[in-house]
Amino acid sequence: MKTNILFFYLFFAITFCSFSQSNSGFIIYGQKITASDNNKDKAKINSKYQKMYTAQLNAIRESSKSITYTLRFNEDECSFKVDKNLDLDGDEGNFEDAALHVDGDGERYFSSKTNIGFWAHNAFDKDVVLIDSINSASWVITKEVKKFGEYEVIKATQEQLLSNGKKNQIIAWFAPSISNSFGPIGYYGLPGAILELHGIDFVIFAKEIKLSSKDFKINKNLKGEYLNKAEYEKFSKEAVANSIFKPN
Amino acid sequence: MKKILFTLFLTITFGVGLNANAKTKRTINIQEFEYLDCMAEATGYYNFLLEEGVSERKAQKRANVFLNACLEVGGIQ
Repeated sequence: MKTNILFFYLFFAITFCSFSQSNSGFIIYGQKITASDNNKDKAKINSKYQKMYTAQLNAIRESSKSITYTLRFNEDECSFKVDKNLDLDGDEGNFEDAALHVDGDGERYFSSKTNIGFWAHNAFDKDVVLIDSINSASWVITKEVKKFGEYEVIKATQEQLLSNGKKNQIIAWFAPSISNSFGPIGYYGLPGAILELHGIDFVIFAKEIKLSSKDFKINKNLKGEYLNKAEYEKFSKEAVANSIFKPN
Repeated sequence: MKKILFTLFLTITFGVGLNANAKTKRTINIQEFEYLDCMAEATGYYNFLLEEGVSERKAQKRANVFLNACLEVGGIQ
């Protein structure tokens, strides 16, 4: 009899727990510019272009302090976009530049069922939606673990190829206890939500995490011309060729 | 007398006209020079950004921001 009661209790406990486990929620991220004068070349530091770059970066650094993004997710889908800041007071340009600096401009959608992501944004004065397939295998999960607030997070890395042919390492800290494989600025595919992401000269970090038992609806109808990667590259090449600025 | 007055009238009219025309030309030349100056700097900056690994999309926008700021203050300071 005692065994029956114990099984009955266990059955209810497990059922209740599995139903109350949250698969929806949202994460609010902040951003920080970490770049310093990473150019050791003195001639470069003293060049007028480096000075212009530093001045622009300082403006972006300031705007980054007030920028936030929201990642909304349910079990299979997520959306990511920058939050509107009402206290800008004429600083919209720098705010946009700050989002642009980390590719946080526009709106993103991702489905973990199909592994297809959309990124609606403005490229060369045209509204486009880049269709991208996400490859989870490109992540290398390390054994490094740390605490991020109340969450235990694991370090994962991914190689990023820059437009000048050099390579950079992206570092993501993900929380396996939030089982959704989502993250900010188009980084997905880890066995847990990304709470901290290090780019070449910036960090995006979770400021607020709210899980919910409600099933959130995620907007996947993004505005703009849908282009796959090859089409996007062709479009970009043509846009650069017709631009007032020409690469050397 | 009439001849003198007529000559004087022509001299003043054409003189003022030519002077105004010269001033306009000079203004256009300064503006053109400022634009070319800023454009050259912005293009240099654009190429610098590409070398730094900034994507073309971002480099275009940033060079444009620089170009507009440069034109606003009337050329390279």
